[in-house]
Amino acid sequence: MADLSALLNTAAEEVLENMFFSGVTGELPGEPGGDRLSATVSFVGSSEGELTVSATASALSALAAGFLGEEDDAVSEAQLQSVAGELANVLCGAVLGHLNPKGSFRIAPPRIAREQDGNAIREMEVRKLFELLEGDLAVGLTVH
Amino acid sequence: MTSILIVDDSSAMRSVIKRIITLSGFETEAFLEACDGEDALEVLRRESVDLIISDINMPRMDGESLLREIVADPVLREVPVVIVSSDATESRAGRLLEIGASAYLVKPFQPQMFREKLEQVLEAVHG
Repeated sequence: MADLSALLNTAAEEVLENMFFSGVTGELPGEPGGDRLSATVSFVGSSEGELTVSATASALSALAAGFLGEEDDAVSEAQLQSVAGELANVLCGAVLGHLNPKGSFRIAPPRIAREQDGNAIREMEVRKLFELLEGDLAVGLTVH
Repeated sequence: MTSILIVDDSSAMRSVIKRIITLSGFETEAFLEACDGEDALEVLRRESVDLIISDINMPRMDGESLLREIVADPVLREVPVVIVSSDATESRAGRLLEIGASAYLVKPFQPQMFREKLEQVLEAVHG
């Protein structure tokens, strides 16, 4: 079984640096906190499972601003949700590409939800709380 | 000058692709947008485009079905299609290139690489 934790680290760094003009500055201890927006994508194919990202509105606004090239306060709620979904989608694709480059997968459209204190990832197999310049980003991954 | 159709169900991704193309200095006459394959075919019935950039996983009609429709059409088949996807598996990329995609780019990509790929594709078509 691949080291899913290491795969998540690699994928998060690639995605955040190349598409969000951000970066992972470390990993935070403990659990995510506060009111958060989450995006979950499920995947089927050579492996099946789910990946969820979760962030506070302020961290996500900053990430979205970097992604869209706009000011933080110019990012609308619809854009926040769209960017959260895209982050989950691209991160999932990057993880699966590393997990099984010759595999075949289908990633479902993202499901967006409001959540609190990281509940969205609490039951997932691998959980990460990345420290970013913009705040924190929680990521959960389950591979069946 | 190039007219580009961007097909992606994520409005954020469509915005980012437009931004990357614009910032890179790529000369573009117009950006057209579609949120899935069916929407893209409707746009292509009424507008002439030089390049199509399409996602794969979309509702109603996905990027692979759109590509098959395009290559089966005697007029549209001349328009290069660049697939931009988060699916990094070799099997998916190989299949789409075999069907007729001009290039397959995996997200995340660096803006400079994206621009170079678009230029290569257009150069291959127009010489």
